[in-house]
Amino acid sequence: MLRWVLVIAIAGLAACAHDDTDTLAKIHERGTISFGADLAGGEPYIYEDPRHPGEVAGFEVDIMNAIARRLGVKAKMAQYAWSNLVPSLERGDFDIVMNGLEATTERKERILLSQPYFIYAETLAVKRGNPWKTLADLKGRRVGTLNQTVAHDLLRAQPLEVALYEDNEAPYIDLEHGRVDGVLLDNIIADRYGCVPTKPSVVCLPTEVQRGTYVIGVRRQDPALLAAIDQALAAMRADGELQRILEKAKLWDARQTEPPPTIVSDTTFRARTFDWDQVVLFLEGALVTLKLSFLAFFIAVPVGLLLAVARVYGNLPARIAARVYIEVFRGTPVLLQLFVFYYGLAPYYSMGPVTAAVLGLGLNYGAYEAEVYRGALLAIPRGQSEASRALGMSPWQTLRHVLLPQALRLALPPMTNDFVSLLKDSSLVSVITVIELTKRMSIAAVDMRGWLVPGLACAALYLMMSVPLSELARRLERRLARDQRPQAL
Amino acid sequence: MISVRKLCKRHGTLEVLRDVSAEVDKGETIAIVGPSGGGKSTLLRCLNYLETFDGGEIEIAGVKLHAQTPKATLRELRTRVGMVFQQFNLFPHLSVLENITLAPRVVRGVLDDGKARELLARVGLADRASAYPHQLSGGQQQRVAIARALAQEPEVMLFDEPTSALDPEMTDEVMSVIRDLATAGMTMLVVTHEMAFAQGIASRVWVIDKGTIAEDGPPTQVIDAPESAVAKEYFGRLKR
Repeated sequence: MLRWVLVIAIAGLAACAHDDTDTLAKIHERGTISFGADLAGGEPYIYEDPRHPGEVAGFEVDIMNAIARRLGVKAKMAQYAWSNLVPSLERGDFDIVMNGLEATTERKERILLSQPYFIYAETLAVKRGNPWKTLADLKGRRVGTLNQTVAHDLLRAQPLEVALYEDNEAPYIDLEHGRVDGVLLDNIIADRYGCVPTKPSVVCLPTEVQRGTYVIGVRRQDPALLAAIDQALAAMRADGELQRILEKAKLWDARQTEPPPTIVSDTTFRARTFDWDQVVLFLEGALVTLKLSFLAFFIAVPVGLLLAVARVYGNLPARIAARVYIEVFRGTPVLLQLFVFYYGLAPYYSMGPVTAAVLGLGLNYGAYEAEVYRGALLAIPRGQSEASRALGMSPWQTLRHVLLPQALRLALPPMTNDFVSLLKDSSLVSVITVIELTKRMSIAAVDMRGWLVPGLACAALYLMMSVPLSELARRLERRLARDQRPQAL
Repeated sequence: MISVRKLCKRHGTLEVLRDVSAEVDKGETIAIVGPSGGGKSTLLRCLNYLETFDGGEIEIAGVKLHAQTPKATLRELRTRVGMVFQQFNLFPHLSVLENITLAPRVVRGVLDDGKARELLARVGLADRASAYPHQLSGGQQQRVAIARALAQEPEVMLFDEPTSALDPEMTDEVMSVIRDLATAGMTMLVVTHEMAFAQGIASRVWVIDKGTIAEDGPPTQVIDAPESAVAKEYFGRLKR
């Protein structure tokens, strides 16, 4: 009986898994071709149509619609995070990838790539008035780009510091505020987000750093689909539809009429195995994590104490202010707070990524600490402050010598908890270009095309930080809590 | 030493103290007795302003208190008036010696702990200076609490049911410390249910009921021949 259940289950699983039958035939059968893309890529690629909410627009949508029309079907977009597009294609979540996918040797080894539909130039942007003309001039400086792009690979081959971003606008904001010295990205992004009238201090250098092409990605087992797409693209090129679409998006330039560049990309510097260099990089990442966490906690503890005292003993305005602070910082995502600190405040006060990270995490955790200390203060028997006052001590002396020392002992277990939590939450600061342990792990995982080894190494390092900390806290707790034995039940 | 004039205190509509007036001379030991809820502890706590009051005046150890006593006065008041609580209220994070030296150190800047050791010897705990409160018995803790209050060199000592949380055996050791203080001439007010104390140590007994002093006189008179109904009933119940 059991055996039959297993057989049926396996058969079912097999049916669910992506089968290798012809995708092109299925597209015709369905009447739709689904393409994976990420709306976060923004204008002009694929973005939510501001005039028709819920619909997508962009030159890639236009190209996709044209291809679909020529295949006799309709195009349908599937929203995926950009960095997951290729793995999701391989898994069979959609038929093709169409979203600024650059042709690289690495991708060519993995999936089938169509003929190019756009030829781009990697464009270096710097701040006006600086003497730098080429990548080599930026030696040893901080240069920004998007994660997992050809530009990222180009920068990694140079002796400079790379700042990684996840959206188009952010690197240029940082360039304006001097937090990076240059930005290397495709000319489409550079022209739309970088050297624009609203950012007068940003200039795009005319020299092309490197040319490349955008292509459509197709699964390895779908050569027929690839041929059909290439045929459609060739026809669009021949009858001028591609040119019309690119002109409409103001993307048509002389490059498009020139022969496409051959696919070259130097990825020899990429880590293939978890070697000694990786170990060193991981340890550096762990050090950044540890540094951020400690500094942030050094902010969180005094902020928390101040807020807790204000809430418990303050007058009405102090109580309200503390309450508002706590609700705001605890009730909104720390990710949002980091963005506000780093990008939002940039026009008024531009701070470095590490400063913003420490401040953001510290002020956020201050709100949590405040509630911990408040609870601890309220847990101290009333007789303690009465005895202290009866001895002539002022409110401040009572707080300083009697209540806070006892409250901190009560707060030690939840504080340890919060610190370990902070250690992990510090990974969020990668959104403001700080490369700490988790970010290092994800870079290594993409390079090695495997999450297991980097993931385990990363987990081990986190544990190596958190376990000794808990142990230290446990000992401290035991030493301090002389009168706090667990009660018998 | 202490003069209370028309002291009033209300909790909402409940009158906890009603026009209480009393005088205490230097060196007197007053036992404050009476049914619970009568206002004994409240009166005591008003005397060092741990409780505020709504009307009347108190003059204690040269400090004048009224309904709006300024905060600056309180430090003065509390270094002159010591208080011992039913639940001892020792600081659990400090050693016995630190418990005693903390207030003199931070309030008056007294850094020498010789006086504290002297006081510990006086309450019979010279050898427990480095112990922590949780390592002591209840009686020992209360004796440390007395030494702690004495360390501020008060002129008046207030005891709020100092032995109610203690076994009879420990009650005796605490009572003997209070007796020694009485003998040494300390002015004291002791809220208590211990008749032995009221009879043996107190120079006067106050019977407090429904927010007033129902009876006030030497123990021989108040306990052995009470005049008020409440005192008759209270002592009658205790003697049964």
